[in-house]
Amino acid sequence: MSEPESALDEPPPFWGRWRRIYWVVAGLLAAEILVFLLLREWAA
Amino acid sequence: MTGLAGPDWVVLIGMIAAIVLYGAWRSRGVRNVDSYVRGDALRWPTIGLGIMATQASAITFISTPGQGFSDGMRFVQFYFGLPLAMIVISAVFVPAYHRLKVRTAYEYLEHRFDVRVRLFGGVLFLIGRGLATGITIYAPSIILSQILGWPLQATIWAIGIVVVIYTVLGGTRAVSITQKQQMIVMLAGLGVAAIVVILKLPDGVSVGGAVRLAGALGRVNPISFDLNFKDRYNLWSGLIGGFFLQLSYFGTDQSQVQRYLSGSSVGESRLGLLFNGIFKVPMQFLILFIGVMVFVFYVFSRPPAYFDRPAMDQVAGQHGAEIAALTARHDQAFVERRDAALGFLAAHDPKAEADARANLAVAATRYDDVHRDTKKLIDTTLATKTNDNDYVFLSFVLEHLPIGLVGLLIAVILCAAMSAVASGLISLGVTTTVDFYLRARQAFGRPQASAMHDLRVSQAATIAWGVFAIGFASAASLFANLIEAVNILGSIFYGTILGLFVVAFFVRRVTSTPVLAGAIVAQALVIVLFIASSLSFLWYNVIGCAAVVVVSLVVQAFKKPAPRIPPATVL
Repeated sequence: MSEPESALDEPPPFWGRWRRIYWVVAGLLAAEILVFLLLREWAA
Repeated sequence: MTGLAGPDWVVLIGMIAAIVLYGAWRSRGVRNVDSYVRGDALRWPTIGLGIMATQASAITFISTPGQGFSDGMRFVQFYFGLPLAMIVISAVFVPAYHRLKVRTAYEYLEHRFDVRVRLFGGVLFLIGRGLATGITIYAPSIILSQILGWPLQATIWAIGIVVVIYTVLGGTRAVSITQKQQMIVMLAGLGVAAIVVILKLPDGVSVGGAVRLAGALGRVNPISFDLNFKDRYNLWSGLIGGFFLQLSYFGTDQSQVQRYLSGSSVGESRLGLLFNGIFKVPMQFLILFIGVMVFVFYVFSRPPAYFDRPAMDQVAGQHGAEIAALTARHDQAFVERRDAALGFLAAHDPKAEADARANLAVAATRYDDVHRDTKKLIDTTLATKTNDNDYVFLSFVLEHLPIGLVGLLIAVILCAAMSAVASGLISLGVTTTVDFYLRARQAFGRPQASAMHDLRVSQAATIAWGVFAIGFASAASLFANLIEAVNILGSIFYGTILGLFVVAFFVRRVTSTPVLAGAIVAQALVIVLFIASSLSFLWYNVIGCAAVVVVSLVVQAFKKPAPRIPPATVL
C-alpha cells in the first residue's frame, strides 16, 4: 500500500488507486442521509 | 443522588486499571524521542479506534444523549462533513505528511513556507488545544462529582494524574493502545445502554411505536434542508461548515494528526481515517437515538422535575414553597402527557390519530412550560445558566440500570475523558518539543543533544501541559462564562489553521509572506465576526479558511515574484 515517492512541489494524485474506497465512503454517507430522510418522513 | 454499589466499583476500577496497565505494559521501553512521538508503526484498527476515541470526549457520552432527549436527532447533521473530510485528508494530507516524515503537522508548514508560518500555526494550536484540554477534564468532572457525590477537585486531579502518568511513561504508543481498549469499552457500553433503554419501555410500547411517538413530539428530526445561517444544525451547515471544521480538526490538529502519523504506512493511516469516516455518523446517531429512547422512557415513567438534583436541592432550601408548587405542576403535567401518549399509540384510524396528535402536542407544551418555569427559578436563584440536559443520561444510568452495568457506563464516560485528555497532552508535549524547543536549538546552532535528553524534554513538556490543563480545570469553576468562550475558541482558530494548509496543498504559487499576511487578516476577521455577529460558529471555519486563501492570493499578486527557497532541513 506504500505510495511512490514524488517531488514536494507536486501535489499527490487526488484519487489514485484508492478511488473505489473513497466512493464507498461517500456512497455510505449518501445512503445514511437517505435513511434519515425516510425515518423522518415515516415518524412524522 | 445515588452512589455506586460495590459491584459497580469493581467493574469501574477493574476496567480503568486493566486498560491503563495494559497500555503501560505494551508501550514499555520508550528510549528516545522518536518512539515517544511516533508510537512506532501501528495498524489501521488501532489508528481508527484511536481517532474515534480522541474525538469522543466524556461530554459526547454525557451531553449528546441529553441533546437527543431535549432536541431530538438533528445534531447528527453536524457530522455529515466528516466522511468527506476523511477522503480529502486521506488523499492529500496523509501522503504529504508521510513523504516528508514530519512529526507534527506544523513541521510541514516550514517545508512548504518558512519557519514563521510553522510557528504561527503551532502557537494557534497550543493556545486552542491547551485550553480545550483543560475543559476536557473539567466538564465531565463537574457533572460526575455532583451526580456521584465525589469532591470536584479530587475528580479533576484523579483523571488528570492517571492520564499524565501513562502518557508520559508510554508516549504516543501508550495513548494509541489504551485508546483502542477505551473505544472498545465505549462501543460495548453504548450497545448495552441501547438494549437496556429499549427493554425498559413499558409493555405494549414497541420500538416502532416509541419512534413514532418521538416523531410526534419532534425528536425524530435527523435531517433539515432549511438553509438558515443562524441554525447550527442543518444539512448545509453540516455538509459545508462541518466539512471545513472536520478537515481542519483531523487534518491540522496535532492531537489527531499524531494518531495517523503513527501508522506503519500511508495505507494504514488512510484505512484508519476512512474507518472513522464510515462509523462516526452511525455512532453519533446511536448515541442520539439512545437519548431519544430515554425521552420516550420518561414519557411513561415519572422523571424528576429537574434532573440537575444538586441545583434543585440548593434552590429548594431557599424557595421551598415554589419548588413544591412546581413539582406538583410537573407531576400533573407528566400524567396528562403520559395519557395523551397512550392515546396517540392506541389511535389507529387517521381521524383518531389526528385528534390524539393534537392532544399530545397540547400536553407536551404544558409539560415543557413547567420545565421552563423550573429552570427559570433555578437559574435566577443561583445566578447561573444550568444545563439540565447534561444530567439526563447519568440520572437514567444511576437510577434505572442494573448493578454492574452502572459501573460499566461510568467506565465508558471516564474512558472517554481519559482518551481525549491523553491525545491532547501528548500532542501539546510533542508540538512544544519538536516545533519550538528542537527548532530553537537548531536556529541557535546548538549541537544535537542525546536521544535521552530529547525524550526527557518531551516528557517534561507533556507533564507541564498536564499541570496547566489540571490547573485550568481546577480554576474553571471560577469562570463559568469562560467555559463557553473556550469551547468556541477552537472554531475561531481552526479556520485560519486550515487556510494555511489549504494554501500549502492547493495554491502552489503563494509564498510565505503572503500566506502569513492572509492568516493574520483572517484571524482578525473571524475574531470580529465572533464579537459582532450572531453567525453560527460552524461558519467561522469556512470564512477563516476562505479569507486566508483570498488575502494571500491578493497579497501574492502585488508581491514581486521571488525564487523558491529550498525547504529547511527536516528536524
